[in-house]
Amino acid sequence: MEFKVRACRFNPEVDKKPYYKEYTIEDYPGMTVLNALIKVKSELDGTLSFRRSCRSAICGSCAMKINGISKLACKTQVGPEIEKFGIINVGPLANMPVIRDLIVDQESFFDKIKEIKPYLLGQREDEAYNGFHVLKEGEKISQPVYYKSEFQNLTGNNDTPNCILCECCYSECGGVVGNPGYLGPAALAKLYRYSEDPRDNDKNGSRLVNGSKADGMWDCVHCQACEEFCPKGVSPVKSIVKLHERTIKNSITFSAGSKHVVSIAKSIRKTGRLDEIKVAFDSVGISGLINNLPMILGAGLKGKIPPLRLKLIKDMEDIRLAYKELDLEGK
Amino acid sequence: MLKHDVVIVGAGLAGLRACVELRRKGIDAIIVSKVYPTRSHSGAAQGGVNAAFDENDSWESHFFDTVKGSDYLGDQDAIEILTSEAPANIIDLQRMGVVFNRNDRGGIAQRPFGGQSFPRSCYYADAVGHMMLHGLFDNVLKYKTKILYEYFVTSLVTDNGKVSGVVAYDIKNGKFEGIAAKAVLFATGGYGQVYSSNTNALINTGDGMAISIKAGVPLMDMEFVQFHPTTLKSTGILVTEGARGEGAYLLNSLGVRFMSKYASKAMELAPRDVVARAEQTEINEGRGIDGAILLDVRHLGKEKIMERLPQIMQLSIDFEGVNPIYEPIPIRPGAHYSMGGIKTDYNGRTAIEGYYSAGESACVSVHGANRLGGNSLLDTVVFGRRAGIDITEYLKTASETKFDESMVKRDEEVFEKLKKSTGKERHGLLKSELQEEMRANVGVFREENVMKKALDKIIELRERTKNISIDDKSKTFNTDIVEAFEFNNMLIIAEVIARGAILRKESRGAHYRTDFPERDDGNWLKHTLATLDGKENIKFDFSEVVITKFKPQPRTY
Amino acid sequence: MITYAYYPGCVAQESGKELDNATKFIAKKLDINLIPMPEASCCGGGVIDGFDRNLKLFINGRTLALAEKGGLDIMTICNTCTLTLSEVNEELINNPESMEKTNEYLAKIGLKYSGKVKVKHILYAIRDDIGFDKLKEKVLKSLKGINIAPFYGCHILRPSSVVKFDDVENPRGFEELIKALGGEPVSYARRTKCCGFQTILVNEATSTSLAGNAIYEAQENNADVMVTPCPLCHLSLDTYQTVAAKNINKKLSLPVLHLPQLIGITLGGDYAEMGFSRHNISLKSVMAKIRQNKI
Repeated sequence: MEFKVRACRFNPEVDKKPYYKEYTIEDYPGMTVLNALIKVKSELDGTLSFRRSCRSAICGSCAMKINGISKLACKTQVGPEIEKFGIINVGPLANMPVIRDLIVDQESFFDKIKEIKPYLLGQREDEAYNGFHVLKEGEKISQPVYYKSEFQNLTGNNDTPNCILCECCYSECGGVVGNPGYLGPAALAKLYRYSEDPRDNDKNGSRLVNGSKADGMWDCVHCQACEEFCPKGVSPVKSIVKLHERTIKNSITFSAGSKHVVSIAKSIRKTGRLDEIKVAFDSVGISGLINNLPMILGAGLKGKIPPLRLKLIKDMEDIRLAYKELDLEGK
Repeated sequence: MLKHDVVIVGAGLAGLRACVELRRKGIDAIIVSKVYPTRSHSGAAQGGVNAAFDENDSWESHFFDTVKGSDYLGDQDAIEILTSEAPANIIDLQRMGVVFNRNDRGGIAQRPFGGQSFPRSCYYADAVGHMMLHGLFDNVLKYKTKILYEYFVTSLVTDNGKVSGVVAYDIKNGKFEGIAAKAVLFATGGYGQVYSSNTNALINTGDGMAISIKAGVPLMDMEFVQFHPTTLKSTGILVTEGARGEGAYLLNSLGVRFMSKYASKAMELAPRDVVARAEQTEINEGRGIDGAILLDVRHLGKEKIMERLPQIMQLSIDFEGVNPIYEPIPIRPGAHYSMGGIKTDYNGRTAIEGYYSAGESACVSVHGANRLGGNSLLDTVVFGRRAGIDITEYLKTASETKFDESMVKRDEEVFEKLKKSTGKERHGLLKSELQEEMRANVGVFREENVMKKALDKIIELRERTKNISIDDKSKTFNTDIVEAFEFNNMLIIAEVIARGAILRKESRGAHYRTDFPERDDGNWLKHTLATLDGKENIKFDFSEVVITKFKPQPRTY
Repeated sequence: MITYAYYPGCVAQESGKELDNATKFIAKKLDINLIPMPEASCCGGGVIDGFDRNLKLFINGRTLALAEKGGLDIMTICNTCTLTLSEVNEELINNPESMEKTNEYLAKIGLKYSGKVKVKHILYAIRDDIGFDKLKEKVLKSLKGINIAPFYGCHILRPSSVVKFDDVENPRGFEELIKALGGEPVSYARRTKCCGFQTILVNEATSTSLAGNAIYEAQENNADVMVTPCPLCHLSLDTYQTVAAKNINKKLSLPVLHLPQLIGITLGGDYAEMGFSRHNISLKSVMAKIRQNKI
């Protein structure tokens, strides 16, 4: 079957803006989008530029927009795409500047990975580097002991160490669209991965403190795109939420985001409901409300204001019991 | 021109491990790589990394297994280092943040691997290469290392027999850069792309080996190409030996576990050369299924497959349309690994002072005629580290060298000339012809007449390459020109392999001659060394195999 | 008649009361019997697991158990409630440990959950349990000639492993509904993107740039009106639209409807019944346009 590849083209040396070019090629069973692009490049047009390497979904090179969604070209079969969209539309990933054709400048993405200190801080004492022991004849080495349970969140199929830094999540992330400075899902998942490591010795909680600052974990918009479009089944947003939980449990609550969550939890404990006014006040404080006064007044005039005193839900004591059972009463 | 103390070319495991060693000591070492480090092909390694930890295991046993696996062609002094330093290296990796699966006693979990007499392959599910690559890369970031990524190295520069740096092409903007250095380490990986149906990344084009031989550094034992027994039928994508380590069966079209015929004791866990030949024999004798045989993991059960082999489950579904929980996986042998490479000693030193190599690009030789599964990752960290240490020592006494800047100009001219090509041939298609020729005629089974035809074909392709066209005239991310240059490197490597394979008139390890089916220790217990003469013709010398503890014996499994 | 346990969520009972009213209005017209759940609590606003993951299981497990006790599926009118309840449902059904722990709590308040409840968002409840064809038959006032930009919001699409209503890569449900009502669905890229609501109190610039650019794109594609199935999106898109316009420095003036309001208009609901006076961006011009339609 013949089908069309419609590729976004842009060469900054000659083009003012990107344009699309169509190529018609022949399909074969099991053909991937990467196979199609390689066929176009080697047979029709050597100028079409894209990154690729392993062709088995482990190196993360060939992430690109395929029919509007960030995917690994090597892992995406042509057949189902044609069935759904009738064409293979390919373009560069979003949220990063385009260098050429399907190639983006990844510097900002990797800078953010570096920013979260992606390595163990300090060492557990019995693991201290005490030289390197080469075995003599008949000699055995003793190894440090770590139990399965200590690594239980780092050794599962979908756990964050499986991230291949392909940038699909970053390209789809609503948080980065809204705020290009936001660390983004991959960097935060990596932050979680190291904060979860039993060997990490982050005594003063600096990871969580730094991660709570502006552009950090509380800028996640919970759009779920990172989980949805991760080609490796990793869920950065779940890691981010676990970071939220850990941060709050460690009483690192200087950020508006953590105040917001704590306030919602409190509001539910008190009324069973989300008290919109209280939560807004707790999150942004009086100054934040004043900044938005025109909007608040406008809504007020239209009658669009929540009740000042909320009616409790029926059987409110059930909810209080949930907090009590989980030892969350005073928190 | 840039100037640094050490330039590490290639950012897979060997390069990164050496880099960590150097950066830990505060040495000015930089990484130059044609891809971003985490794109390196080490990340695709799946099954395991070997080290004797168990109290019932010993590094000496690992030592012997490796010597036997190499069909006695491995240098035993180097293998002793590889195996005795293995446990410490694994612990060091763990200390750096690499995660391994655990056993119930709180130690590192280990699985059986082919040709190993004890379960000693440490793993992270079936993605240990990925785990190690990212773990080491994170450490390279920790030591704030300068990384020139998407720089394609084109030449090694020397000065009076000493290394003085490299020439690199900045793919992003098309500029050539001279990088002067007191020491250069090539950790540039293998050349799997020379074959069709291979497990390798598209970047594995043997660049480092080709540049080395052009610079006068011998390539050793290049005729030994490992064919991995289990690669997906349609794509050649790797299916880990760990699958068989976990208990998978190999079945022919009759549903028979045919390995009983070829390795009655080790069965599926015989070394790769033995299993690959057994499979190819079954296929050739008509007991294959559409050119493939079957890898069956169904009896392991869903839970174990999901826990231990999640990646190969996903790869089988995505690339072969087969869910291994319910169906056997069609697989066949595919080019996988280069036992040969740039000749080094066990400290990574080469024939040129200050020039080092480690990892798959190097030939120490610890793998001899056949590498055992789980020993390549080990090789990268053991000899990457050792090269780092030796470079540290070397720098203390290394004298200044002059960087010949005309080399930069020369490579620039080569590229400019290449860029102007407007011939009729397309290098992408020539590459396919080369790959198919090598697979068909310099493959699992080899014979002189057939290989001579392959050699003719290589020479023909070299001629036709003079008549290619380069569509892309741009300076910005011009992958057309890079691929054309890579293809030239592949042609050099293919020729060395073919000539070496014709020369070696015996069968040993992965090199099997149907016209010389026996191992011939009397004439061929020696390494081949390929160099170029002044007219770019390949010539061969030989060197002795280092034998310390284990005298060659018949090799059965 | 179809009966659901009705879970409007907090916002539709507070600042977004017009949504609750419109839902009840169309339910009556479509013979949907909505059983109120006065005991049901807030789902946690999509962020409660950031406080305590077990709390999320307990309070939502309780809501599910309440519906199960009545032998009913839950109908929601908020994306975030839909996702939260669905996530908890999936977790309880697939993870026996979570189910056991939650049931220990539920036992203390006289409830038990066994995993029988389905959580349905109103958009897909109408599609699956009534059918767009049936809905079409009931239309009294067509939306013919009206360009309607569907804004799906995140939590009825993603993650598709949990909310399995539509094709996450190319959802059609909303467009089909609009067509059934006689309207013209506007095609634009941001229809499946995020409105930014979850950070509206945390990082207003991020949040409003998402909402603002979605509105802008819909406007550029000639939308007369935008519709959303989620009251949280509605806050971002309508209530904050003026702020968003300022932040992204674009002229924005696109009325935004709650999904039940859109249906309500076609079933004869008037300006007051639909609560349009509570909207920030005026509905007057678009309503005038709709009124011109003969049917």
